[in-house]
Amino acid sequence: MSDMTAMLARICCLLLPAAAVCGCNGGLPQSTVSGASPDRALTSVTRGVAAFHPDRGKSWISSKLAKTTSPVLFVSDSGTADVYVYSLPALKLLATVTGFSQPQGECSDNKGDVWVTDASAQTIYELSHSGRLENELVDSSGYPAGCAWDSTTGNLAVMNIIGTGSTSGSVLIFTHASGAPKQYTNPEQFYYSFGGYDASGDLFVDGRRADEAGFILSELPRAAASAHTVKLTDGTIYFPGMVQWNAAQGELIVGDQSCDNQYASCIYALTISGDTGKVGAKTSFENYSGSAICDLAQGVVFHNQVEGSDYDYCGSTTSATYVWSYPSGGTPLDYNNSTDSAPVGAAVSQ
Amino acid sequence: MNRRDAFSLAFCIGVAFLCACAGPQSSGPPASLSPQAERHSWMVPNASQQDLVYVSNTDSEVTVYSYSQQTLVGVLTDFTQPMGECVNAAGDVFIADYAAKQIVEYAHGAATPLKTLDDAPDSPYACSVDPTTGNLAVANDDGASNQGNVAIFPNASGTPTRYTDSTLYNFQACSYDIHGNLLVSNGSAGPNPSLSLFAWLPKGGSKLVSIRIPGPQPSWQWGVDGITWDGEYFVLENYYVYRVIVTHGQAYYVGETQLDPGINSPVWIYNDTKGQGTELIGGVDDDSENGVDYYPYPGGGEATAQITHGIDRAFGITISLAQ
Repeated sequence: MSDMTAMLARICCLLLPAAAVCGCNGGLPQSTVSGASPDRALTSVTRGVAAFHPDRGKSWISSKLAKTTSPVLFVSDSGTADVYVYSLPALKLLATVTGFSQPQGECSDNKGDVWVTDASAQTIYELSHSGRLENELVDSSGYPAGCAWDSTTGNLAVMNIIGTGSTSGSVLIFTHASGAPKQYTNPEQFYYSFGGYDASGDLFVDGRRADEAGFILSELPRAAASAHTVKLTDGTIYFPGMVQWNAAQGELIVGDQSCDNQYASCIYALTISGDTGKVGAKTSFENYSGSAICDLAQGVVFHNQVEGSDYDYCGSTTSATYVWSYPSGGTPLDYNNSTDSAPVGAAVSQ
Repeated sequence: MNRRDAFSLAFCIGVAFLCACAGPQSSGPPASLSPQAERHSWMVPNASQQDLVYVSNTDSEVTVYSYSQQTLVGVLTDFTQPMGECVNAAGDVFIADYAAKQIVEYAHGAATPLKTLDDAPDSPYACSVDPTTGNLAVANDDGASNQGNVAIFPNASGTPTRYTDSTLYNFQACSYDIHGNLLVSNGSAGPNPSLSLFAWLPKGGSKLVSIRIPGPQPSWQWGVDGITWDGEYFVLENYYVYRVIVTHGQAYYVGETQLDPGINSPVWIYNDTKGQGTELIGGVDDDSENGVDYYPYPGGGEATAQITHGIDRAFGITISLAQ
């Protein structure tokens, strides 16, 4: 690229968002749900500055979603830069929320709102049960890839997979999901992926060490000033996946995107005791063609089921969103392979 | 206009000149279209004892320099259109000869080829060697009328397996990471915005997977001239260079290195350790400069050294370490 071309490209990068601001009056289009067919002129998370839309599509929300109070599944897809909302357990597509840049991990709060991290936009978006934008938090310290909701305090934890300027990632705690966050790190951890709170308000976050030597699990105890490493015994986890506290069993569910160091994903039930996590039962999953799934980045355990998406870069099937039994796993109970491209995050809104 | 287009234009001008001035036509190919046909490759005797910089030039020569002294130590000829370069763990250098549809391999510091790989009917634009297997990946750009591909030569020999992707058309850059995952690029967006710029072939994978790679801003548009691996991250050349993580099919922006002057060719990063490289070199070609510049890495900033002798619009660059 010549100097002049590069300069023009940079000018365009600066001017195009500005033009979008002028053209859109900086406001969010008003939603008008009507009829049985999807309304395609609705919610987009784009507010002011236009984000990059790979699919150039518009948001739509079905009338059914607008009216329902039943649990629904939110799936973020970094390939299309959209968030999809599915019914449960049938996995019928109820809404597509566009305008993201690089949607990643998700978490749901006490209201049933779903928070969606967007690494490239350095923003965390709050979507209502019906997929409308409620709020957004700016993250200038890194690239957010995961989040967790503390039901004991109403705080929101955000995991930056890496910091700006090639620095280590971190955990940000937004008190009551607003304002300026506090930043926490574990000196032994460099990449921060997914996280989950236990019933006491202790936060567990997985990720990798600086040299990519391996998986690491950290705990940020409630009210602590820093995080520490949880030593794993009785098993090996190779690549960080979902983290969720299973209150019914009193165990931490941790996903492995490289289960047994293969192109496959599974989840483990960990027993936490002090600074140690004992790796227990493993749950493996099959795709709709009967093979092991390729890559489940973030799933969610909900009512003895696991919901989540398989990003199938392995080539055996197409990417798809699934419902499996938990803890048995195996053959999917249902699936939808009509929408996903490179799915990442999952959260249930109820 | 990219380097291939520039070569084509020069070729056409040459043909037009011959047609207009050569007078009575004789049979056989016009000898003057192979500008270096009468020159021979050479290398100074102690070249193999040094870290070497190999530069593909638009005049069809590959010039070789002492990395530490920036002095010319050899010239490799007999190319038709040398483009991208790469190196394996033994220091052997692979040079993609675009118009000849072949890849030529030289031992570190040697003036004669070890072997030549036939890439026909495709046109090799860039290459990379898998550090875990020794396989050679070649990005083939077959022009506007034919979709390119990435060809994998097992152990850098024999017949390749070719991979295509419905969303990529021109394959102009590629690089392996330390784990054997391959990242390829379409170069620039071109006229069809629905086409992807990047695809990923995981180690042992059976298909290319289109991926989106975020830039420093959400609305960033890539125009990638080259991809390399700095020991920790993929590095994308886009006037400045940008570091990204690509893992499990997900890409994350890490940071940028600003260069003064900016680069308009593939880059290579000097790395004699298992960690991140420490110096970056790349071709600069504008109104005031035509050379290969050295920059601190990852800090960037102003160039600290420059090669100009023998440089003619540098395109492919690689560093082969003394063994």
